Amino acid sequence: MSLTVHSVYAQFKIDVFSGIAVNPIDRPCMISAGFSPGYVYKNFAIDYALDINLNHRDKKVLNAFATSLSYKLNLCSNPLKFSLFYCNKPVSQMLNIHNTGLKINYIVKRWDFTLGNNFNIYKFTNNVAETYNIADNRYLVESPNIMYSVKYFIMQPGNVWNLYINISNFEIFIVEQEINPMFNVGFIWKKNSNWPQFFIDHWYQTAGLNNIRVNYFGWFTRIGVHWEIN
Amino acid sequence: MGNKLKILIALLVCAVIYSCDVDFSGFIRSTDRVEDRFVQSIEYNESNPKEQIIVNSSEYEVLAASDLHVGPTVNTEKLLNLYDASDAVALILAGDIVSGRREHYEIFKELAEEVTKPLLMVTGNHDLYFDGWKSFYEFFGSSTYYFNVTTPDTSDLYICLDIGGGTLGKSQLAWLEEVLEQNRENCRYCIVACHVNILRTRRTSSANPLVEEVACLIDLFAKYNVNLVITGHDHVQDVAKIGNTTFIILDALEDSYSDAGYLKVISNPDTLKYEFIRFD
Repeated sequence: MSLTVHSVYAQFKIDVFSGIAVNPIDRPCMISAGFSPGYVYKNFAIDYALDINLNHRDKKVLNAFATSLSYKLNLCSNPLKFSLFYCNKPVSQMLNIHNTGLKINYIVKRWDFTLGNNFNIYKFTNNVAETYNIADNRYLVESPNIMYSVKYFIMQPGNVWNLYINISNFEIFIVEQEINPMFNVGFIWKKNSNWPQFFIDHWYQTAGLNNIRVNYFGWFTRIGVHWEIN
Repeated sequence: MGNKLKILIALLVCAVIYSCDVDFSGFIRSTDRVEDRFVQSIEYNESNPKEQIIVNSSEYEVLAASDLHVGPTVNTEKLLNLYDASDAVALILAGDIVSGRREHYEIFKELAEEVTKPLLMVTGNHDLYFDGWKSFYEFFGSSTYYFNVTTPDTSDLYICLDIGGGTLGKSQLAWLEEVLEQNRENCRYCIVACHVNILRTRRTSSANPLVEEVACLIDLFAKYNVNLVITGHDHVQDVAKIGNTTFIILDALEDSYSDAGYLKVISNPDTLKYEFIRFD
């Protein structure tokens, strides 16, 4: 087994995207737009992602904010990446979900695997104590939660286009409980190395799978562009 | 492996699946969706409004239990007899009362008919197995409703929700917001009961709602000062508090569970208390 550390380059990258989500919470739907700049230097990468609520701005303006710090190396000639991440997802003007964890990603041929662990923390904002007389128990930490993703690409990496299917309990801005997987399909297209990469990503959410009483919950779709700036 | 052996194994697997009380088809689809169950429950409520419970003193008790898993009935009978003989004004059964099989519903219905005081029930995931909602609705009616317990001085609000499938669904969530908005202000305490545990404070294989829904409910319960949320599903007692809302998971009442028990909620003018009581 060979483990190598490589690459001596620096690179900016940016994703710009827009999304729509339909579920019982964001009635009738939530439309959002965001961007995610990142910087890669040698084996390290730092990423930020911001998603803005476009149609429920009375409830919350910021849909989510996420950041991660990664370190990449090679394992048996395949990329292995360790990432530490944090995500803040406002629920309303009085409650936020804070999520932090560590994940490991390994890509081999057409398969992309991720395994990790995270903590969900529900926390009331500072002004809630006055408004709703909540002085104590202003936050709650849920039990450690396994994160997983098994993604399969139809075409070989590097192809002009590709299609993938994925079973996972997390994406950029939300980490579901390990017993609530989501189903994901996506399409990416990049004409050549001078072009940005276009993507469309669709997620289907179901509730109650592990209760053996599956019930439709919702879906969300994100379209965007990924650009690596040399 | 020979073909005969493969066939034998396949038949054995089918026999095991058929004989156990788990409806594996629920991994793929549910025969009834929460939206449909909610519509039926609201229709039922309109023709059969829940009677308000009126008590003569400013202090009263309500009992709650979950995960009875009737087939076996020793603990269930014990609880129902205890409740009927006690001063408690209501007994809330927070789901997984049966396994969904018709015969288990019939067994429980016979026991329930002997009880002389209010029995308030909601569905759990097991109650919905094998098309169980049809039996639940036929025998017990609605799984989404609210009622008041009225004392000489005030009134407490109790809201029962159908989350057997793991989500409240769009319509029921909107209904919950409306009920809280219209009724909470006029009530002293507010208690919500449903089957699936909202929070996941310990590592467990039982599924709670999706994170978006959990966060929405925490927010809603804080906004409307819901005092107590009584749930089951996880079978192991747990208490968590965030804001002013206490989230309780009940011990299972089923016969095979060594720590089987129930909850006593004591409402008085000064405070809302609860006590876990385990059968010996």
